[in-house]
Amino acid sequence: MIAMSGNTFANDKLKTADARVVSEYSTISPQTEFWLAVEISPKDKWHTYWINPGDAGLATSVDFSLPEGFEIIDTIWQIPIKFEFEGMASYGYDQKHFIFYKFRSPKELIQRKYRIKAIVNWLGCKDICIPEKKEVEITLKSADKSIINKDFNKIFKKIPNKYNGALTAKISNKKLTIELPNDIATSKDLYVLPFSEGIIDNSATQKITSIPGQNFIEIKLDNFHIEIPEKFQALIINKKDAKLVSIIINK
Amino acid sequence: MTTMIALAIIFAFGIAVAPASAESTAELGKQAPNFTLTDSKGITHNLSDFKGKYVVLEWINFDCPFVKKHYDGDNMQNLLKAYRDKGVVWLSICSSAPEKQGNFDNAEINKRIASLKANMNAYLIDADGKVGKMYGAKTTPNMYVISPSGELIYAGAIDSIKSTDKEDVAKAENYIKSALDEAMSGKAIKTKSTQPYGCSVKY
Repeated sequence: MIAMSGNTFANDKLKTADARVVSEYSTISPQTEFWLAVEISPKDKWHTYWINPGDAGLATSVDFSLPEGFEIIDTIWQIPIKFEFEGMASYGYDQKHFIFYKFRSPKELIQRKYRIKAIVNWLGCKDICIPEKKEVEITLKSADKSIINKDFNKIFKKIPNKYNGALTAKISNKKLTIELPNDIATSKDLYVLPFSEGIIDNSATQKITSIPGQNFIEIKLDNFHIEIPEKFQALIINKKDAKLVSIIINK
Repeated sequence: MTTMIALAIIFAFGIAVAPASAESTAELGKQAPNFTLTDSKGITHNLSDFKGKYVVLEWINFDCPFVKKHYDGDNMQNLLKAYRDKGVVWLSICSSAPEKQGNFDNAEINKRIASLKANMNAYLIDADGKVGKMYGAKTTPNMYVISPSGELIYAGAIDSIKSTDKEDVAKAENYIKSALDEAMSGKAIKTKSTQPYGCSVKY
């Protein structure tokens, strides 16, 4: 698997994590869709954050510099874990994990090689927090035919499954109640994690209730919640996997 | 006897004290919960002492990179000064527990305040975290604005760009500035709450 390390800014030794980028393809052809994975490896006892970091922390961000004609068409974060502490909760990773970016190469590839660079910014925390960044890059060869890296499939896992259809919800008494379809309400050990910060009380227990033929999950709203959008995305996470759902608020 | 007199005074004046439970009781649009804390110079303050003035509560931890973002570039100091000059009371509150990041003795706190030239009205010590939990303070910084009538009118982030880069300060909307400017000119506050960002409060 093609992977490149990068330059660490200002010669600082990274204290909380390391980063590199790996590619699904070693050689790409024109108009090819392919994945690049930014690999972040927290050091012992440190963790980094998911797209919604929860009550504290900062989501990892990746700023790409792309050759002309290359575009990013999708992004997938691996399923995060929940950290609970001092009556609060955050979401992120304390083990090696990946953020996957789907690229499309241009109609014509006139160079023999293309370099894709990125600056990976993260906040590493344990009892204290340190912001860090690293420049990573990868060089891909171009040819008429793409050559895949067979090992890439080994890392393309812990991915949320996209759920077909939207879930409906209502807000009353400072709670968000979501109706769970039968194919989601398969376990009592599941919880809902919005992609947006500031909607739910991250440390409150989410309560699953049932009436004949219907299942609901009741979630306390954040005490100072943001204006809740009419439609938002969330993960529904259980012990085995996670589903990526759209939630629509019924007014 | 002294305890009996103290209790009588509390009941007579209806002074609220921090509840023992960790449940947050602060709510936007309602009276900000009263509290009594001692500052880094040994002076005790009640929030109710400042009724009639706008009050800003700023949860602080000098060693948090997000707090440093605003103090290293003088953003917080300039904001503080600008609004203290308009009569706003600025209370910095540290809820870091003993042995945790941000918990310093008074000498160190006052040394840091002097070196940063930070001119808050008081740096209040909340080492048992009761007031932090009363307000639901999650991060440092986490900001609250209280109106002269004692109503909580803003809660959340200091500004609109979640980062540790001080270069972002100039590009961001400062929510405290916006809330105070709007409230002081009699306008409705456009953004009453935002998701605070920062290090977790070290309860």
